[in-house]
Amino acid sequence: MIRATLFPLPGAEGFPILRRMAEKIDGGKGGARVRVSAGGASKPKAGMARSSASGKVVRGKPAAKAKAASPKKAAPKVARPRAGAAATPKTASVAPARRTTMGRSRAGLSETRPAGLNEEDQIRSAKYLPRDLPPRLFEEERFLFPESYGVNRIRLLVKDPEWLFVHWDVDPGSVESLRKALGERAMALSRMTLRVVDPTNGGSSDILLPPGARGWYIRADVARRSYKAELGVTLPSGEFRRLAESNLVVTPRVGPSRDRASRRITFGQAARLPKEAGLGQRDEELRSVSGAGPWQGSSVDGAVEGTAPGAAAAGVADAKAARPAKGSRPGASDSFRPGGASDVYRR
Amino acid sequence: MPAGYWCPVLHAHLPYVRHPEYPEFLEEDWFFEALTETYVPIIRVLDGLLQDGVDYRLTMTLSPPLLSMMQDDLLVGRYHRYLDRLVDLAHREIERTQAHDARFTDLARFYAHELADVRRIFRETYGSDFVRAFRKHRDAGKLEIITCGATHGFLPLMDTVPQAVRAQVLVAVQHYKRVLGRDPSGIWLPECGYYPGVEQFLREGGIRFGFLESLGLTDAHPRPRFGVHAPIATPGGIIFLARDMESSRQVWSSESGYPGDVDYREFYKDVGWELPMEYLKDFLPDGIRKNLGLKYYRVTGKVGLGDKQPYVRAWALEKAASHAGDFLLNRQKQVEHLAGKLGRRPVVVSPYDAELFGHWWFEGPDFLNFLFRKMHFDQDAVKPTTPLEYLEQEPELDVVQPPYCTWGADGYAEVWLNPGNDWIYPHLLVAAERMVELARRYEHPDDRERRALHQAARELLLAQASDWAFIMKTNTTVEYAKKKTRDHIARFDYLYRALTHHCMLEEPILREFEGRDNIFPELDYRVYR
Repeated sequence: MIRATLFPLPGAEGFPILRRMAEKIDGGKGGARVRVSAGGASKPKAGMARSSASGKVVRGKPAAKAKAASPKKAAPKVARPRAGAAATPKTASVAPARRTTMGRSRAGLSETRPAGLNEEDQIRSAKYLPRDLPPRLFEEERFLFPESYGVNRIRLLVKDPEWLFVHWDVDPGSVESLRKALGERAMALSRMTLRVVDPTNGGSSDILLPPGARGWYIRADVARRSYKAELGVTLPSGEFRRLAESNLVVTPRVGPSRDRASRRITFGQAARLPKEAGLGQRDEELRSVSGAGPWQGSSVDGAVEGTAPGAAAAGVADAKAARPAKGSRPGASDSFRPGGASDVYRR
Repeated sequence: MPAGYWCPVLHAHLPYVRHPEYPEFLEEDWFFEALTETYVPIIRVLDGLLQDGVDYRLTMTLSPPLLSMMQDDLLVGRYHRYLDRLVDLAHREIERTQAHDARFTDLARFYAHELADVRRIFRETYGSDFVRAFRKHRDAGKLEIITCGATHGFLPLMDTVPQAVRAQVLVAVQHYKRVLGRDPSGIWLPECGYYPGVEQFLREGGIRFGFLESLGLTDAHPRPRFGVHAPIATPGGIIFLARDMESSRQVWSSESGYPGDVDYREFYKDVGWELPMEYLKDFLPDGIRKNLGLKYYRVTGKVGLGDKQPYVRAWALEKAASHAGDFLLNRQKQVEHLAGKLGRRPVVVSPYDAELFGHWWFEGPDFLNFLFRKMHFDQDAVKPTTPLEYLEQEPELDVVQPPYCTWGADGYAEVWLNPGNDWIYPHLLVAAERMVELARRYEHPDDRERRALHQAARELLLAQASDWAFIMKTNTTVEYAKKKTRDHIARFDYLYRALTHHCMLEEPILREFEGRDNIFPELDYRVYR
């Protein structure tokens, strides 16, 4: 996977970057792109590497909590990060956009006529100036993103071949019912749990969640496979009481295919394919994902792209032998350390 | 017959930024700067090519938000003001440098002339309706205009609410038809964000082709016979062309790419930061320093800002010409080599953000000008093309399945999904589900309800712009990106509650939303059913 690092253009050492930054592509697969914007930005040079602080990918880290916007004053803030000089980077400052007209009134004739404009042009341009600003009725800044949507649900997103992102909500009512059913003590000893399941091959891995967690990054297996996530409560007895089940996802295949394309089509034929063509693609992807799951040692189900780790290019029998026992192989099962829960967005 | 083809793609997109509630708003400058330094200069180049009989081909995304801004009276009016101010400043700069800093007088004159020319092209040649400029080149058969997501939403992270993906595609297609008078054949998936299955919605929109990061073909299954240098068809029936990394690197690379050359204009030395505030006060209405677009220094080398040397326009133009020659030579060698290896005429696809040319790399449009002319007059080996033209020449396609991929730094979603911005997705996805719920619940809305439903769809679309997540990751105008996400979700939330009877739907508030977030006036909420 590409490590994107920012190398500013020669001559711009240590300089802040644009709204969208050039990303290094030399020798990499990723694309370097620059998007433009007004104003410099204040991010220090080292910021863009995947291993950098801002984008640090820790195994199994919880996602940032839901942002709760605090009520702000009426004037929205307009961020004005300043371009820092090499020696002394300035800090970003935020200044309110003032609801004022321009420095001087331009409606009608003005004392200082801009060069290049005759009187007629200036009068015409005045029509574009707002004369009266209507008062704002709706104050968006008072809006708070909800801490929870109050339902039991969990959703899985694929970030890249190695990482999934899962987020969830809990219905406080069902937690209450459980508390009533179990009693206070048992409830206190129970833990909210994230269970990651490999539905194709069976097997699962549980992550005990810290209180208040609403999202998590899950390390996926190196081979392509499908995943589901379940949200539940692990009772003191060890029983997993499920609250919600997620959608099914498949991580993308990585690396060139062993098979060379044999099916051909013409441009004209492609347009005439039935509209449902390829709709089964996802199912086919899921079917083609086989091979041992990360959590068990069952037999490999035929040759497939991206064989199970440890199986290399050897045949099925070897693959079976090479597969480590459950729990002892790095993969989805062992990477979930809590901590690093970001409180940045809580205000 | 050429040995191969070159397919340049310029992706022109800006998020929809429009603040009628303020007389000025800083982030609206993104649009004005891009017009002044990128879109108008590129059209000026294309106009020249057309006039001089240079046969060129270019593919451009004109994203729906960008097209909408180009047609918005408020923003066009503010752009007039922006340009007038800048011309004014350039003239004052001529006076100031004559009196105090004669080194830069010629350059100040150059800017005054340049800006006046931009103004003339925008106002007089195209009557302030700049979409006409692109239509003209399309009608001349030189420019292929492709569409994008309705608000550049990042589709792979939306696929758990398929109606949201569908709406991003169909609303874009409908908008394209209305503004450009034709059906779009091609699409630039936002961020090249492809996932298996998205074809279903592209087909529904009548799209024939799109673009992928090179990873999409190198990791496709089975592997295509011609690598990334021929289009493929997916089982879903959409044709894809993949980015060529070699030609990308020559322009994009911050290490070895052309834009970093020592003679090119230095982006970070701008009069808006350098000259005294007292002098600039007419041009900085908020009293806050910002880029004004007049820059006097060249890159010079790996030196501090304080050691930059004056920009010499003539040297920069010479460099642009020599880089164009170098780029062309490389493409010639590349296509000749590939043609031999693949046994057919390859297509080298080079997509770039449009704003790279002109705004970031000031001499970019000049480079393109030299490149198209040299390609036309000086050689025969490589010919510029558009996807449809190439497909007419080489219609046979391998059928392969690309993996989920993007043109982000890692080839996937790191940029748009990381601890800095992951918090937005629960809210965006719930809002999308709620929009579907609203669309299905309301079979026969009354007039005001219908307006609220349409507006709710607009707010959702505007919240979904991938620009916000991107900005949060790249840590530039983060406060603004958060504000936009919050504002649009807040408005959506109000409308949702009103429509599900949890609060009153107040006409003045609805009108306020409609007045501000006025993109897609013909949007129909039923696209979410």
